[in-house]
Order: sequence, then structure tokens, then C-alpha cells
Amino acid sequence: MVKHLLEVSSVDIFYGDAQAVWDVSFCVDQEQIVALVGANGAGKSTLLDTISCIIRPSRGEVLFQGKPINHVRPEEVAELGISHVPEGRGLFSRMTVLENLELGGFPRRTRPFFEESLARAFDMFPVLKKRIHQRAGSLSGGEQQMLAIARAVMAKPVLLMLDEPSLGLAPVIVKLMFEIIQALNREGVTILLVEQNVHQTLEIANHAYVLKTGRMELSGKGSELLRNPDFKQAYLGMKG
Amino acid sequence: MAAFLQILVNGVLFGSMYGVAAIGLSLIFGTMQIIFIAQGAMMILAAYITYWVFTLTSVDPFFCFVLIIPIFLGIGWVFYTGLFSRVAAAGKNPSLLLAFGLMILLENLMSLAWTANTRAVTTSYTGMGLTVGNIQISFTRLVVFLISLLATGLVFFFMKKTLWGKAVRAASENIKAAALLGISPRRVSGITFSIGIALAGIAGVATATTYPFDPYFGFVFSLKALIAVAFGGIGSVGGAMFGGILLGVIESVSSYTISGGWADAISYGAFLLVLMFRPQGLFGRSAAS
Repeated sequence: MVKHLLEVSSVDIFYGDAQAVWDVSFCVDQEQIVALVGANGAGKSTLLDTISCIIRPSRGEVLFQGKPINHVRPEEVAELGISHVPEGRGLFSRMTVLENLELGGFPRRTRPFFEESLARAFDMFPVLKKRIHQRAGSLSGGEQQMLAIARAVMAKPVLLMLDEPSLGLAPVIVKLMFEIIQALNREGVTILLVEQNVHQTLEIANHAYVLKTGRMELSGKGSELLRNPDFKQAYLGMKG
Repeated sequence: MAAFLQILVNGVLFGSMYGVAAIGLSLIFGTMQIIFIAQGAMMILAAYITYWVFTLTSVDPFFCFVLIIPIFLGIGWVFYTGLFSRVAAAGKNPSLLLAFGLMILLENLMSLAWTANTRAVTTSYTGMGLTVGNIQISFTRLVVFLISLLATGLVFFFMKKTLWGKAVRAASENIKAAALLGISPRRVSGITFSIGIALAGIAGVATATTYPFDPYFGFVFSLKALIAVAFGGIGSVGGAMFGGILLGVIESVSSYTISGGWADAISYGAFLLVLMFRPQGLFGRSAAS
């Protein structure tokens, strides 16, 4: 039986008394790039937070590598192989680039490979090597995003989740970001991507799920959705 | 001029004790987001342990520096895992109340056990001093100062150079992001709490060797440590020590130029000024955090 790497199954998610997600199910298979797209407030970030166990679903389950992770604590997911780059990146801006990367290698599973992972990070993001002892807060937006991704990759994740990596970045940098995401995927990292930048996301996604106000609206292969006229009007028209 | 230098030196030596306790407060605040008001009570507990070890065994009180560190690291860990970690989920106010309750409990237990009489540790070298130029330096206070610097250096090294120290700094900045990297908030809070209590212990041994004390001294010391943190800024180890020394100097100068009673008023006045005009302290994080 082919197991999905990640399976989100009929989840309802609440913030206090306010429901944010209704009966959402989707899955991510090994070595895919899967996208969650939709407008602000659609519940995309909420779903990522639920997968990384920051929030618990009030109904339904999340299965990673076939095992439920409903009762796992957020600080345990990195050790399991899930790296989550939250919206806003969550960098330690008062600490240096190197220190941020070192902390990326915190999970015990990854510590034997630390030197090797660090070298790979600098290979993939040479600009970080130039700024190695600079405070993370002093980097440009694009550099910070690269640092956030590089830090997440230090944990040698099986599943890398990125929440709005293109937010606030210049188009040239966004293009670079998507190339990096594809490069990581070619190395075997499964990617779950949340984005408002729909067009470029669908160009690289194997599969995409469209969310609207907390509900699953559409799903399909990235390329198919891009050709779907209704989808194009509803979602790409929006992009302008 | 010589008199002024003397006052300055006295202030620096004395202030280093405030500094050590302040570093502990700052660390605890960084991860647990509470002012651990029982810091002073823990200091007094360490002072009493020093007193009794010396009185009952005649072992040099400075030996207590070595003894106290593992004991207080352990006490800190026990307090955290037994008390504060259970209350953490309930929010900041319950944690603050717990710290306050702990302070009251400790003060009163110490008072019951050992009476409220002032104690002091007097050794063969208590009155001894060195003379450098025109300045008298009390031997005990000099040793205490050097130990305070050593403690500061060790904490600084831990924070800057070790992986867990960096994890503590990261968690102090953004506990959620740190958790996503695999850093357990509970572990980090436990570590900083233990170190904070151990630092209170060091300050307590220092107090015992240089100053008479009683069980209720603790609260004032907590306040002074808090003022030191305000001066130096939260999140800076060096800043907290600097704040402590600054406070020591202010007290020393005020005591001499005006009077002992005014020293406190001036310290609290300076505290208010800092809070009003530079709430982040001299070396602390920006007001935005």
C-alpha cells in the first residue's frame, strides 16, 4: 500500500470559538511539490500550523508517514522530519546568520551532519556566506527569506513547509526563490507551499489545493488548474 | 578626590553583587516572561546556608561558592519542574503570584527556623583590606567582586558559545519559532531558571561574606536587582552586571554625599527616570520588543 507522506483528514480547526477550517482533507506524497493557494484568511496558514502541531484540530487527524501526530508537541516535529518556515519567517533577528543556521541544526538527528549541512547551505545560498556574522535583522528581505529556508533545511527535513515565501519580495528575488524551491525538491525534499502568488506557484507545483474561507474548493495538478478557465478567471484575474 | 575614588570603588565592588542577581532575573524574564520576585529570598537562603556552614563547621565561607552552585542549580530545576512549569500554561499572572508566594513562604520559613535576628559571617580576615594608593579595598569585597566577574563571564560564555545557550537566546527572542526548530520551551525555561537561581545563590554567598542580613532582606535585594536590570536592559548579560555596578555606585555616592537614608530614595528615583526615558535600559533590546 502506498502511504502518503502527509495526510490531513477531515480536519476542523478552531481559534477559541471561531471556526477557521471546515472538513478539509488533502495529502502530500513523497518528493512532490504541493501548493495550498487561496486568498487571505482562507485557512492556509492555519493548516500549516496544525501540521506542525502549533494548533490542534478539534476534529479529524493529521498523519505523517502513516502515523497520527495529533498529540505531538510543536518542538517535536522537527525531530520527526517536518520543518516549518512560518509566515514572517521567524528568524532570530538579534542573532547572526551563522547562529540562526546553527540553531537550524538543533535536532539531535541532524547533529552528526552539521558541518556538511552548513557547507551545503552556503553552496545553495552563497550570499549567506558573505553575511555569515551579520545580525539576521540587518539582512534584506530576500536574504532573510533565504536564511529562513536555509535554516529549515539544516534540519534535514523530509517535509519542508513554507508559508508565503514570496511575501514582500521583489519579482527578481521571487523568481530566485522558486528556483531554489525546485532545486531543493530535486534533492528529494518534499515541499508543501502556501502562497498567494498563484501563477508562479502553480507552475512548479505537482499538485495544488485551492482553499476558500476555510473550505476546500478545488484541487488538481498545477498545470491543469492553470489551464482551467474558471480557475483562471477566479484566481488569476485576482492577481491582476 | 581620593575620597571620591574610594566611594566609587566601594560602589563598584558592592554593585557587582546586585549585578549577579540581576543577570539571573534577566535570564528568567527572557524565557519565562516574569519578574522572579523571589530572587532576593533565594539569595538570603544562600546567605543562611553560608552562615550555618561556617558557624557549624568553621569551613571558610568562600568554599560555599563552590558548594552553593550545584545545590542551587538543583533547587532551580526542582522549582521549575515542580512548580513553575505546571503553572506556565495558565499564563503570566499565576506565575507571578507563584513567585510572590514562594518569596513569602521562604522568608517566613527562614524566620521561623532561624529567627529574624541579623546574622553576619565574621572570619579571621573579615576586617582585612588592601591599600592601593590612597584607596582601601576590603578583602572580602574584592574577592566577591572577582567571583561576580567570573560568574558573569561564565554565563556570557554559556550564552554565546554553547548550543543550549544559543537556544536560550533564540527562545527569549521568539519562543514559537524556536519550538519549530526543535527547541523545547520547557527545557529552555528550566535551564534559565536553574541558572538564575544559581546566580541568586552566588549573590547570596557574597552577601553573607560582606554584609549582615536577616530573612526580610530578600525583598529589597529583589528590588535592587530589578533596578539593575532596568538600568542595564533585559536580554544583556553584560548590561545586567553594568546596571548592578551602576546602582552600587549611585548608592555609594548618595550615601556619602547626602545620607544613607537618601541613598535608597535616589536609587528608586533613578529607577523611575530610566523607566520613563529609556525603558529598554542602556544595553537592552529596543522598546519594540
